Amino acid sequence: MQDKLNEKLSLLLDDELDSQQGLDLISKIKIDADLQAKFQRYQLISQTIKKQDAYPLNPGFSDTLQQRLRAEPAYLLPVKPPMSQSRKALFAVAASLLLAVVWLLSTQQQQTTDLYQVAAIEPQPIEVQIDSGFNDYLQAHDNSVYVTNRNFSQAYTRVVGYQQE
Amino acid sequence: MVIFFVLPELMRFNSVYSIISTNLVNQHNNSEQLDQDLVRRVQRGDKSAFDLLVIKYQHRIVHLVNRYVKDPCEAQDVAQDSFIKAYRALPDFRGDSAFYTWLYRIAINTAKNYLLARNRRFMDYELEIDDAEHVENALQLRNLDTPENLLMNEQIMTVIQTAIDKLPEEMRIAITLREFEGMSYEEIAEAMDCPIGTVRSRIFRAREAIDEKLQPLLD
Repeated sequence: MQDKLNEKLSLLLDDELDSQQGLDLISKIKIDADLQAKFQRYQLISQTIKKQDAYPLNPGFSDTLQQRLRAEPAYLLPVKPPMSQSRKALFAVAASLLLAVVWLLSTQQQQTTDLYQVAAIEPQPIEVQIDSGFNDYLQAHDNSVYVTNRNFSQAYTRVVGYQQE
Repeated sequence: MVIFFVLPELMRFNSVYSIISTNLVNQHNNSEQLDQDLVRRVQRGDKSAFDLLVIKYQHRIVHLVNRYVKDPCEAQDVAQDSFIKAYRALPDFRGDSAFYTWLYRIAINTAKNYLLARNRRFMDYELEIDDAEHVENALQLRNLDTPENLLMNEQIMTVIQTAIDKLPEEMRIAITLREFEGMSYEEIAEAMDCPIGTVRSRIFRAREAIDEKLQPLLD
């Protein structure tokens, strides 16, 4: 049993345990002084082989640090309260309804605007400014001249043969 | 020293360097996933989860701080301060980098600030995360060690070296590939042409054998 645990310490040191196994083992290390001492020695061996330099920890290092940590308050992240499924569904329905209402309103408003626009159109008189001198000239020189000043009718002037005569 | 002793044996495993490092990535993922789980627990108010992070990283942080602060007692105080600072800053930790990388930076800054505050000379060079724990500067820094520390260091290193030398060949190769080469168990299994379970067992038994020699010295 102890050998198994020690072997797991070796695996933990080499990052060969998965997250859950690592958590379980570290929790055991925390409450087992022998296991903790063993893990520290494994760490020392590893560091010494790697770096060719040895820095053993003071025996009370962990205890002192844990005492200091106990004096610290818990620093919490602001956590958003989880939303329940029924509330999520309610929000979804409300959002859908709101969207439908907005769409309907905008459609109706569009139709009304079109009607107003059609009704608002009135025939615009076209003012034709005809120089009376020019009119007289045209009449005097025959050809076909139909010029009136009546609204909605456009002056039609035939001048094709003017220069040729 | 060990690497030269074992090098001829390693040469037989010429396929070592051709192995894809996917396993190494998985290995880091395991570690980072575990760290993330622990960090999340701390952020939810579970203070004990931080103790677990301390247990996991205390040795590495003390070792790191010792490169700046040469007095072992002071170095361990600074290492503790680093953990406390990390705990206080943990709500701001977004997980953009690995937890250890983040903790490492805090430890380096704490050590530098400590030395500045004490008007001490310190090594004013930036160590990058990948090479900070390497041994290039160890000799230079060791000159500042006290004789007692030097003696203790020497004793520990001698005990470990002797224990490694006395290991059976397959155990010595396995632990060397693991610690020196940083190879994953799967890579070692492929290099040594044996099942991964055998690698686990060999590395574990190698550590046990070394620990057996080391424990009386530390007690």
